[in-house]
Amino acid sequence: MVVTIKADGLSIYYGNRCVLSNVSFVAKPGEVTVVIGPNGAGKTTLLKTLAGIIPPNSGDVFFNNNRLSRMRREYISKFVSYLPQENVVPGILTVFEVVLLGRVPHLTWKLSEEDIRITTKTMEELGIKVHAKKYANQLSGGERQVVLVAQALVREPEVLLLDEPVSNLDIRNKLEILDLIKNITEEKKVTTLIVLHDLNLAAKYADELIVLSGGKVYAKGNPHKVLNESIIQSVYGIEAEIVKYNGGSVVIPLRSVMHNLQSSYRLA
Amino acid sequence: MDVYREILYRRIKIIIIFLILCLILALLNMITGPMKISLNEILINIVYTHNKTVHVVVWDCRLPWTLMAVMIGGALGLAGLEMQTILNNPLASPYTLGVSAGAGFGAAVAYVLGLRVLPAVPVEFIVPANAFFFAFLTCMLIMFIGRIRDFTSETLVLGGIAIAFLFHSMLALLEFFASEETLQAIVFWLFGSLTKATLLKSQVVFTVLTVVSILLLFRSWKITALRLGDEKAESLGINVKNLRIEILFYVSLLTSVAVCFTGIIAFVGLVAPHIARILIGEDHRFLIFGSILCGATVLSAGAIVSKVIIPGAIFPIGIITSMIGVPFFLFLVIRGRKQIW
Repeated sequence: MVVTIKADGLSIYYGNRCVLSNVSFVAKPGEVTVVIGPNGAGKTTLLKTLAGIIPPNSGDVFFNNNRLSRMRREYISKFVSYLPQENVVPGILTVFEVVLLGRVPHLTWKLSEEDIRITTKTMEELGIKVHAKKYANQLSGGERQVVLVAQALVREPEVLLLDEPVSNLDIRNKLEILDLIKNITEEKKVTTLIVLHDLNLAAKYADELIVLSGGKVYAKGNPHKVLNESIIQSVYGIEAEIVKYNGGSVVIPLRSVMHNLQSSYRLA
Repeated sequence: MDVYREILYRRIKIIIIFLILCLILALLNMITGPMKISLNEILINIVYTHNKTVHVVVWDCRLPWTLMAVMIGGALGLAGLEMQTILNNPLASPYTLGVSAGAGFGAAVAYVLGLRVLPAVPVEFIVPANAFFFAFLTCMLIMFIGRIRDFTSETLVLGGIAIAFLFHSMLALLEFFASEETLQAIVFWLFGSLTKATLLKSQVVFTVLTVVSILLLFRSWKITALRLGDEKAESLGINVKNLRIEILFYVSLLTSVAVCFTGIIAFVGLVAPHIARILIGEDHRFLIFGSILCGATVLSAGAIVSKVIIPGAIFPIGIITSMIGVPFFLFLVIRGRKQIW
């Protein structure tokens, strides 16, 4: 099954505060849709809504033509995999178990050979099989993040929602993990949404880019068209230079044009 | 494949060690006591009346006390484990959340006011029935408080602690008005003791423990996934709130039954799950057995010590368990390099 996600006029309020306002977009199977935007733009809330954790106050999400609001959470979890931003693994769980728990809806008291095989295979693909017997809370922050990505992938989802999956990784691991996610997305026709902070990684891996600002979709489309100096200035409040390099775009940040922190520091 | 087998075998090995340890301690528990009886003679008298006095001692004291130590230890271990897991708090236990205090208050109500809260209870069961009623009431109160804020773990834990204080002070109030003999009865009840055990009581605990364990085992993967955090568990398709309510209900039943017959035995419910977790890990398919066996082992050890510490007398076990358990527990906490929560 391939899933096209259509968000239609999503609005979310926390009390009186509007976190998402009339957000609409389409994410297609086999494509990586990257969500960018400054802190507090509503990126995490958007992913949680798509994962069925936060119900929207108005608007709805359609998986193919089925309304998210009419689906049971157990049903959603069968084809949607969501990786939260938090990168902690509490408890005394081995890496094998943390990855395996990604398949919780399928697990029976006696593990099936299938569950063990897929878990082992996923650990191999992400290069963490050597850690399988170690406790996850003994790993470094970066290694743990890879384990959590494995947990999201082990369910073989049709929809993959990743909230800053590479924020704690070194540059090589960033590229390797994002390459792997990109490959899986294309090969298995997964519908992937990733929240990223790094604009260059966003430009490199996005098939489709969504720029969120203040809870609204500020721009969306092909990353090389969307990522330009004026959008970056109005969304992030920085001056940047975009250099075209090898068919892609490279964003070079120059300076902040808002000076929020500096001025308040001087006042103090 | 082989990685999983290795993890699996290690767990099974630890469970078997616990099982053997528990059996050995239960047998030792049978043969210790004011009257010197050999293991052989005890085993013979379990089957038929070989010596009349020994037969009475074995069937009226040794056997029920031993079984009760195993059952109560197991029940407290399991109750503590599930409280800690679903409330995501390493300090949760029947004692810290006020269930024991509720039971103590119930017992005091029976001793001081002579009140029978559950109608048609035989006289010898008034104290446990009251204790059960108030322990269960405590659990329901905690759930009621939790309901106001969507059963988040913080609300449940803080609610439990508040309720514990409430029952402690109400208990103190009853003690203040109690006569000297009644006060003594209450204090002895609060010490916790296995000497009131009968075969019937241990059968009741056994039945509840078995039923609750089976119900929990069916949900073992979901419970394990709860340890990843509420949000993660939700995204894995678990209805965290419903799971929490369901398990809290089972645990309420188990805890109330465990504390109502023996009085307050602190520490076992808090520490047995930690010891089991350190040695076994979070996988509830094994940790449930591990906590039950660990609780049973600790309480059996306590029962033995309570009989040998002053020859000829039986010390209240509630006092002993903490004394022998604390050093062992601290050893595990301090020595171990791995995180314990």
